[in-house]
Amino acid sequence: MWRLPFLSLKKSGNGKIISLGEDGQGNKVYALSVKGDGEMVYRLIASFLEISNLPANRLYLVDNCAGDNIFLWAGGIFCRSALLAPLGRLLAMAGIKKKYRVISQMVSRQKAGMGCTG
Amino acid sequence: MKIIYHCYGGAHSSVTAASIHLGLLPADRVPDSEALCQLPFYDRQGHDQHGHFFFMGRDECAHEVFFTARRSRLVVLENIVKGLADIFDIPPAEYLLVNVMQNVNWTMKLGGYLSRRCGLIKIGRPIVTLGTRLAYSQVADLVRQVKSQIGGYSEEYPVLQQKQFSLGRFGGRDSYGTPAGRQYAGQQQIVETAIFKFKKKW
Repeated sequence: MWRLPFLSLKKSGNGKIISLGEDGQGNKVYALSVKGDGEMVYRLIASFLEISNLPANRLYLVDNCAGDNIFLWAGGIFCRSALLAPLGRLLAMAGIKKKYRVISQMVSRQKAGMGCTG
Repeated sequence: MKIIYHCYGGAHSSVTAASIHLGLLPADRVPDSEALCQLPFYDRQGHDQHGHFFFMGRDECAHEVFFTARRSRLVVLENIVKGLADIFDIPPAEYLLVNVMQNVNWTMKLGGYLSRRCGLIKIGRPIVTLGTRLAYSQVADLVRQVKSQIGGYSEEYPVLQQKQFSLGRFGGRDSYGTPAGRQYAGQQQIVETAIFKFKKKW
């Protein structure tokens, strides 16, 4: 799991759009950390597409409704320190496991909404 | 090319820089407070509009000039713009991000905070206007540098300038909220096209 690119993001990586590959329908999937300024980031993206004259249906923004829990929050803090990073990773892992069902259901709903199967 | 001036709140320094770029404000002298307050968007943008790229006008080289607020998220703005450009194959030469925050002084910060954040416009606006006038020559220098970096500007041509319009209500169609579940990115245009010619005094 820790080989996933967004789990080892540095501070300079905030706002970086990370490509995760394509789904079964050929849609490209990306991950983006909005870090507390979600609404501003949505406006940035929507507005940039608009001024670039890109069609509105080229990009879906999907809010990961899972939110943080105490494990993810603590894990995130510990991960910043080189010494406590292993503990941070353990906590973050526990946090993700706790939210995994919610995230998985959200992904299924999105796929169903987009007409994706499988 | 799209030239995007950005600062913390998109209400003062970036608006001033974009206005100088378009010839709405003189580059060779400091304008009075009234001229600043009459600018479209000057000391107007609200917190819920941060992140939106506001179209200010088209310059004599047909470059589109925008300004935006990115709060303290400079890296986020740069990464998102770069990331989207990569995804949609937009060449890097198509846009230029210009950070105006380096020219913002404490007077502007204090006035901007009082006016925009606390809503104390009567107290904050004169302070931020004073700060803008103090920082004006540095902002004008920055615009000059941007223009010389881009190249192709001349003293002769008129500037096509966008018509002024009201900002609209907060949370209105020129401002986007958090997508509920899934939402298409990109909304309708919020500005009018170039309306009248503006003679450049440069």
